[in-house]
Amino acid sequence: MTVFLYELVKESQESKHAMQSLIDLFEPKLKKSLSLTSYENREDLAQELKYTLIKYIHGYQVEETPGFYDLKRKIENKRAM
Amino acid sequence: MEFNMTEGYCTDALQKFKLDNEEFLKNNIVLSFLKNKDHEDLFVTAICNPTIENEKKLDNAFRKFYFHIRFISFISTAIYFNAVNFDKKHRKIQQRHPLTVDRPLGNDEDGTFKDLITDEKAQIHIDHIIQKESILDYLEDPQLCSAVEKLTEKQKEIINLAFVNGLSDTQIGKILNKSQQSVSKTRKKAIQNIIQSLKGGKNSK
Repeated sequence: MTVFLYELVKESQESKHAMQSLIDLFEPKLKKSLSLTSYENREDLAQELKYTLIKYIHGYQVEETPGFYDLKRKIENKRAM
Repeated sequence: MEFNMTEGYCTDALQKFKLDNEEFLKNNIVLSFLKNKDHEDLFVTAICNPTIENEKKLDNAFRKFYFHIRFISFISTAIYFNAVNFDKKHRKIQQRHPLTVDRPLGNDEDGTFKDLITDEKAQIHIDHIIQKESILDYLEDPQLCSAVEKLTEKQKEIINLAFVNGLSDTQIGKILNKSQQSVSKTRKKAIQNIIQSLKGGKNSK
C-alpha cells in the first residue's frame, strides 16, 4: 500500500488512467465532504473537488518528501538551534 | 526502541546510533516506520553496513512511507477546506442574489414569494374541502350520528345547508330550486325523524 501510493502519484502526473484510479481512491473522503454543502450543490461540489484534486496532484512535488537521512538532519538541526 | 540484534557485532553500532539520535528515534513517524519488520531490517542493515547502497535503500523505503502519510493528510485537508470554501462562496452568492421566488417579502415574517404561488392543477382545494363537509363530520354522539344517517338524501342536504352553512330556509330554497315552505317542511320533518330515532334508540335499549 505504501509503495503503491508513492508510485501511483508519480505516474498520475503523466497518465490519465493512473489519475483516475488515484481519484477513485479518495472517492469516499470526497463523498463525505459533500455533506458540507446543501443538497442542490452537491454535484457541483463533487466536480469542483475533483478538479482541484487533479490540480493539486499535478503540482505535488513528490521528490520533495524528506528521506530518512533528511529527516534525521532536520531534527538534529532543530536540536542544535 | 528495541531492535532485533541477531548479529552480535552490530550491537555497539546500534547502541551508538540510539544514543546519538535519541530525539530522532522518538519522532512519531520514525517510530511507526520502524514498526514494520521489513523497515526495521533495512534500518539495522544500514547501520551495521553503512554502504551507500544500503543507506539508499533505507532512504527510499522511508521516503515512500513518509510520502504516503504526507500525501493522504494533504489531500484530505485539501478536500475538506475546498468543500468548506465552496459552500461559503455559494451561500454568499445566494444571499446577495436570491432568486425572485426566494426573495423575502418585506419582513422576515412575511415569508417568501414562493409561499404565495398556487398550483392551479392541484387536486386539493381548500374551498372544496369546506364545501364537502357534511353535518356527520361534526357529530360526536354515535346515536345522533346514526339518527342523521337514517334520513333521506334530501333531508340530509337541507339539514346540512341549514346547520353547517347556517343558511335560512329562503336561501336554501333558492339553491335547491324549491319554495321556502317546502324547505321548512322538510327541515322540520328531518328534525322530527331524528328525535324519533333517538327516542326509539333509547327505548330499545
